[in-house]
Order: sequence, then C-alpha cells, then structure tokens
Amino acid sequence: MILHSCYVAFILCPVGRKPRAEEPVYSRLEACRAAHEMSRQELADAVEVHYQTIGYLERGEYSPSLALALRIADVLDSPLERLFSLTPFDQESTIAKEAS
Amino acid sequence: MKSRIREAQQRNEEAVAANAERVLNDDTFAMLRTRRARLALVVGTSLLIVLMAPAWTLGGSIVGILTVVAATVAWWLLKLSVRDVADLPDRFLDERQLAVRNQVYVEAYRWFAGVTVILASAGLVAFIALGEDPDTWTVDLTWDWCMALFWTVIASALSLPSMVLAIRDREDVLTTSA
Repeated sequence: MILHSCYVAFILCPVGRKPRAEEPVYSRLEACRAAHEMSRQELADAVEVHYQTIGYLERGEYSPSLALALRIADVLDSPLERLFSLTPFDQESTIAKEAS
Repeated sequence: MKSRIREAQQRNEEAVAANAERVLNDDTFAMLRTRRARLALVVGTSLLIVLMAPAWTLGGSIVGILTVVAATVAWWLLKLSVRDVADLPDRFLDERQLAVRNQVYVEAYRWFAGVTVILASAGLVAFIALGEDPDTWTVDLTWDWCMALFWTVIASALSLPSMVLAIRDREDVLTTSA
C-alpha cells in the first residue's frame, strides 16, 4: 500500500506543472514586414508557415528555429540580427532605420 | 486489387489534405475560437465525459447513446475551435504548431495518467474496504457498466489533447493582414 501511494505520488507530480520558460527572443519582424508592404498571410506563404505563427513571432511569443529565421531573413532581404535579438531593440532607432 | 487499394489511399490522402487546408485557414467557425467559447467547450465536454457513466448505468442504453452522440458533437466542435491542431498529421503543421502540439500531448498524457491512477486507486481501496472477504469478492460487469467504462475511456483519450490545447492556446488571431 505504501509502495502504491509512492507510485501514485510519483505519477501525479508532473500534473499541472508549467513548462520551462524559454529565453525570450525579441523581434523587429512587424516593422520589417510593414516596410516591405507584406501582409502576414503573404509572409507566411513565402516562408511556408501558418499566418498565426507570424503573429506569434511578431509578438515575441514564439522563438523561431534557425531555419525559419533564415528563411524570413531571406524573404525580407534583411540580416538576421536586424530581425531577431536576445536583447530588446531600441524602439526609436528601429523606427528611424525603417523610415530611412 | 492493389491498384484499388492505392486509389482508395490516394482519395483518403486528398480528403485529409482538403480537410487540413479548410480547418487551418477557414474562419467560418471563428465564433468557436474566442477564449470564452473554447473554455465553454472544455467545460461542456468534461461534463459529458463525467456524465457518461451515470447515463449508461442509471439512464439505460437510449440515454447512454444520446450522451455519446452529444459528446461526439462536443468533441467535433472542440476540434474546430483549436483548428484540429491536436489531431492533424505532422506534414500539415508548421514548426510552432508541432511544438505546441507536442507540449499539449505531454500534458494531456499526464492528466490522463493522473486521473486513471486516482480512479484505479479509489477502486482498489473500495474493493478492499467494501469486500468482507477480498479473496472471494467478485464484481459483476453488466453490459451498461461495460459501455460506461468503454465510452468514458474513449471520450477522455480522444478529447483530452484538444481540451488541453483549448485551455493553453490564446485566442485565435483572426486577422491575416494586420
């Protein structure tokens, strides 16, 4: 009975456990996409993902794989580090760069 | 014979691809994809699963079958609400959807295992506590009880991934061009 209780406790331990938080990846994708006058759907079709995934990337709620990040950089004709960063982008410089 | 099987497989592949295309991109059922609608569907499906056993054992076969039909409709609506991401073949999902689905299956398995272990343990304890002589005590499994167990397990196993996905996933983003 004691062994059984231990087994039950072991099985139930992970129930409801929150997944490990990922390191955030900051994105300037929305500004770059807007500069290229592309819709989310158009960009999604070009890099072969669902349009919602572009939304998640723009909101910084999903970190893309290296392959997807490179495909996006290729479509937007932009260096990877201009699109994604591990540190927050400076908003003003972003806007200034996009305007120029 | 082989060519017929191949044709049937091809027709099935085409039907699956058409369904995947429709469910992933169609916004006809947008009203099912709000946060509130998804939670309502999760609560409704859970209630139907819980009611499955009493429906078969207390209400009889007709009430049991009606509950199974209602649970099937709820499951279908739930799948539509999460764009069937939990059940579509891998090749129709992108990397984010695959990652989300994998996490959802892990969590759904934990819940299924947890609930199964609790119920099985409760049954074991009841068997020991209620039986005057556990060595000779028997359980009569009637057709209604058999159906109750069968449909409860089936409904739980099929619905749980979509239920977990409906709880975890944020509200569906409808606009494609914003």
